[in-house]
Amino acid sequence: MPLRDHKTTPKRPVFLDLRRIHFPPSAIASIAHRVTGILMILAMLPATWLFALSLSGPAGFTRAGDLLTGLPARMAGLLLALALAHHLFAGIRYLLLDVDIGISRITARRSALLVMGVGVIAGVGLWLGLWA
Amino acid sequence: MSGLSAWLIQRLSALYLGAFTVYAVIRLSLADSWTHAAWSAWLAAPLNAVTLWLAVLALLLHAWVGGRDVLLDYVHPTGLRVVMLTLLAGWLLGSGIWFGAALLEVM
Repeated sequence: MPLRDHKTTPKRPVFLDLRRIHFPPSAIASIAHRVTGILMILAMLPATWLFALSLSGPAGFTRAGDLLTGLPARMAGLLLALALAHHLFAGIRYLLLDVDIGISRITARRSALLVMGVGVIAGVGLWLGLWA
Repeated sequence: MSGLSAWLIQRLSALYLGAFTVYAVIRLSLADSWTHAAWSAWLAAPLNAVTLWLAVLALLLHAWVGGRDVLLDYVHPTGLRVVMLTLLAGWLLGSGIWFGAALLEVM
């Protein structure tokens, strides 16, 4: 990489200290919407495998049930329940934004925080409902 | 599938998946104990089967449009991009076909 000539290149501010960059709530909700979507895509093949196993016969059904109540599945289940809940509520927020509901900066910021809070609560609730 | 049609498909599939998810979660939470026979019979009931097939179709379309958007945003080298998109398509199609085959067995 050639050295820059500071006499001719205008000095631009560089501000990439991750400890000092603050993303607004809308940006965090947006990134989380993408990450949770990817997570659920990754879960599709394993989930399909479990589904097929559960339908393969009584023995397969029992085996699938045992796998689902095991610790790895419980932990993956919590992660996926949180992902699903966030993705669902953030998605509803985007559908509302599409029809111009809540597009002012203040409202969008508040709804992003709301969506993330409700997503965590609903995700844990969903996990408890399905596994407890 | 791109532009307006992808945008529209993403939103229509989102509406269906949202409604289906709420229904499925409530239904699964209410059930006390499943057996293989009860589970197979429930999936084979016409109304459940139709709503589930539609949900799988909506999920595959939704995951394709969303996953493709993410890949196009973050993966820039053309070769790697083609590989990743192909893997995504294979992953989704593989899941969908496997799911459909398993479901057809009990119908």
